[in-house]
Amino acid sequence: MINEKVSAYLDGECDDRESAEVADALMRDPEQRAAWQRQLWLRSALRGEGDVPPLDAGFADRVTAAIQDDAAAPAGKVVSLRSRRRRTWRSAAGLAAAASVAAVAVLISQPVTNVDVPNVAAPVMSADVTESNPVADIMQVAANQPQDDRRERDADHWSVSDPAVADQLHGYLIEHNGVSRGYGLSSATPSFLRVATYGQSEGR
Amino acid sequence: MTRLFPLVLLLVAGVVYADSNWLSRASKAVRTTDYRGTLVYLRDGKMDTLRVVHRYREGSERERLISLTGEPREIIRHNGEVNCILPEKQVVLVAKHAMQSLLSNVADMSAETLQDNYTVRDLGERRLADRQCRAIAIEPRDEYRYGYRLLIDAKTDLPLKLDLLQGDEVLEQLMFTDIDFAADIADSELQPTFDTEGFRWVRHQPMHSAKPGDNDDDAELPPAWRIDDLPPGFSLAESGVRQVDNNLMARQMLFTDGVATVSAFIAPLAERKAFSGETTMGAVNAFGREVDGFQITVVGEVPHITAEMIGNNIRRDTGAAASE
Repeated sequence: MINEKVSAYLDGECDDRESAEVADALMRDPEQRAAWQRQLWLRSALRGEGDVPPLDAGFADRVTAAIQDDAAAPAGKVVSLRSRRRRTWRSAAGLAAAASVAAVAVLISQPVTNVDVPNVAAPVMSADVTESNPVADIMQVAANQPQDDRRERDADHWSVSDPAVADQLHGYLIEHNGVSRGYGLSSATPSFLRVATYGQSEGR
Repeated sequence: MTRLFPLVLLLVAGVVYADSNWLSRASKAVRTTDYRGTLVYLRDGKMDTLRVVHRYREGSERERLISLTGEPREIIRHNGEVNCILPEKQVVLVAKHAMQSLLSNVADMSAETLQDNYTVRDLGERRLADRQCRAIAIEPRDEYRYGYRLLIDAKTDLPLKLDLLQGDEVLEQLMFTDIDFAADIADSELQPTFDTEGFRWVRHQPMHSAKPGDNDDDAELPPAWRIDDLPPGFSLAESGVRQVDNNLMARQMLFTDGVATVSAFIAPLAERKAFSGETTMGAVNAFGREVDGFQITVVGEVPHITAEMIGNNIRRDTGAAASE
């Protein structure tokens, strides 16, 4: 039954209530999430987006490739910004909010002061705050890769061997994303998504 | 007439984009557009799928993000308050942020600064999720920053796709695979799926703002710091002291070139796990080193050389420290 709804959802045939039911079912049931992935894969294949490898062999790779193909746009004309100086603040405003790309902006941190002030009143923490970095507690990562603290790219968790360091870094990243939201396109690589996807590949 | 309307819109949009402020329009659309859709987030061959619902009504912004792959996670945002629900761990992480400060920061950015460090190209019209979009590339002029490519919906101005690039390499991609610009998003669609009764609630309280001249006798606060030589085009946007957790006060310095942002955190080493050198997570780079008993950690969506340069050039502000 839910598979039918997933299919209908992907085809844009669900109403709001049915879409919500699909989303809720996917949250609760790993099997349904697997079915969702299969449906996504099948849907892409049926769209004729090129050779589709076996699902388990490279679904993500294929989607990645398809999207990269989409991104390979022809060179276009240069947009002059110097001619827009009188609109500077407007463009700046756009830049800031475009950066958050709607769904991807999460505010996990608190604002810092706008000046470099050594005298800052100590923040008040509520009674039920945990004893350590809460983000770190939650996002415990079994970062057991044989690495030292050198750079080695990994997509959804820090490439460090010490889980405590990874937790610290993730906490800092969320703090950074919260403060930087108003400043540029970098916040479009979002803490919102990073929170939702941090370490997710380890469970697959 | 109905069929002609989108065409007319596209023609008008083309003029508007050529004229200028697509970015400003996208800015407004990000905050004020109502929609529900499916997001795909790709990086290094890993893919996550998420459902998102966003509504703006009477000045209030609400948003719900649901992880559809991997461990169930749900994030509910109402203006500056964010609840991250992690049902498998039975935890809700709550954070608050001052929205006013965010909006006021926007005016500090400069298009001139952008032009100094990036080339902006209009790549023309593209289609995504069965919608007509305008493709915009923001290309870095040097190796201290990434490049970006956006597809902006021609009708609503909402960015539907974002690529983060380093040279020719696509580091991360975020895109809507389907989207519905609905005007009838109900409150129920913005409510969490899970009953969080009995969950552990972890809260960050807003930080007290400080103004120059305020007195504080807390000797545990990190002292003032400065940076001598920033990567080209970057400047200090914010600096202040925050509580990262119960055991840690850290100074945070936020730097930006108008597009990219990166933060430096400075905390007493005794309370932190030492971290030295470079590390990365997708497009995010971090650099750490020790200075005078303090751990300096630089984190941001910038190339590693940018993080490293910032980390290596942060100094204790002895003049300020002496006056404390």
